[in-house]
Amino acid sequence: MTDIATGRVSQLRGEHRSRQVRWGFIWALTCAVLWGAWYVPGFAIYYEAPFVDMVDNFLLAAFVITVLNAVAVLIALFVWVAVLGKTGDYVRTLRQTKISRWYAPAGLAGMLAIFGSIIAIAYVGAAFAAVAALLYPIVGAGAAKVWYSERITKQAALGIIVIVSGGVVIFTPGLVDEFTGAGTGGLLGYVGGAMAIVGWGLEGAIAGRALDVSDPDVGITLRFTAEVAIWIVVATPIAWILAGDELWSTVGAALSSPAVLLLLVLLGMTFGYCYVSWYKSFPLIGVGRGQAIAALYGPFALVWLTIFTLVTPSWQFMVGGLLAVAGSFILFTERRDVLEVIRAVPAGRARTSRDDPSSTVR
Amino acid sequence: MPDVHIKGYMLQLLARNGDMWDYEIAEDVMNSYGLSGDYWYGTVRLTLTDLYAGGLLAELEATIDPDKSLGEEKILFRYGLNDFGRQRMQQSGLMEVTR
Repeated sequence: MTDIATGRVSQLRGEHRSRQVRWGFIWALTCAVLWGAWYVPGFAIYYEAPFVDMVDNFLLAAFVITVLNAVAVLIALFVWVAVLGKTGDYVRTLRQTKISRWYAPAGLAGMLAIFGSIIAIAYVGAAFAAVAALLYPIVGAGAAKVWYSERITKQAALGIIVIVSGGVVIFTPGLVDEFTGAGTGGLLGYVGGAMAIVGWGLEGAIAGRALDVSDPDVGITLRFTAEVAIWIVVATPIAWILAGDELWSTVGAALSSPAVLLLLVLLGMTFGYCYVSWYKSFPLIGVGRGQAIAALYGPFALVWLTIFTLVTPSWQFMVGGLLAVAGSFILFTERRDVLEVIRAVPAGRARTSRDDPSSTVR
Repeated sequence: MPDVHIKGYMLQLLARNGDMWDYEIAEDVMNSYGLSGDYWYGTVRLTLTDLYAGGLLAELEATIDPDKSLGEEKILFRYGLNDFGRQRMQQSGLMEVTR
């Protein structure tokens, strides 16, 4: 091969690997945008009948909404997988139980995180719940590093911390009021917040493990299959015992309301496709970076809510938003060869065709 | 058609045959699963990218050969399974014992 040809191979190779990393970030950012957008129907649904009249029965309303949300997401994901022509692969992956079983704890961790968030909203406040949920990349990155040697460099750790601090700053105005006004139920709310941090963090780490040997589009659908199964088989009977027949009258009223059904379609699409993007980013840039960029959903949620409610955000939003953007740049500008193979395993790239071997072997 | 899912099949293919070029893997996958077209060719290459980024495959060689990529000037990779990839396959029940 001539020098020109070798140079061209080297150039195209570099472009290809850069694209690989860039797409990892694009997917994670798509997740953040959609996750943020999810909060619009996510809040709106509480203002629709029957939920709007359930102020004194908030946990039941939240339970029904959460279960219906999970079912809507699963339907959206079945459509997604069918459109991609991967339904056959979904069934084949499901049958590989040594692989598909990992999606059950991932789904369980995710649903505990969602439920924890709801408890945190109910007993402390929405701002606290949002801050708690934003801290999850710290758990995810830590678990992925300890468990399967994901490369969390100093620069990556700094980027993750800056993004997370940005998110925390955004929600500080509400946070202080909520801490002082939490009252006797506060402790339960803090437990809920911890569930959100640990739940979403661990979900990502477990998913990262399962995605090594399965497809992201199929994997996320299996994860929601598991979540819906747990909601229906385990959680719904418990809720029935605790709430009595009001559970079913609430579900019936919800499903017969066209407004609620429309909101469920929006919830399913935003949350479902946000989760698809989340899972697609993990194999490309790792769980720690993918989760940190996805944590930009905090700023995005406020942007979307500002657009729809026309309430001007506070100065803390500007400061926190800038911090989160700065953190993203810290992550994105890391050296490409660090990001190319996200695990610290021996022998990632052995040799590019007739390149200088000493410069490429790691 | 293989019982195993496509990503698992690709890992088994590499475990069985040793190093392979990405277009050879794509061709084998498409033949085995009765698939055709650019979409599936791209899907296989994307899956290989996932496996490489995750550290399961080693990139052994890169080249340009328009004859192998529908006349376009595209980078082609030759991949091989590494120890981590083999370990993951064993943990996931993908390693074939007899063949």
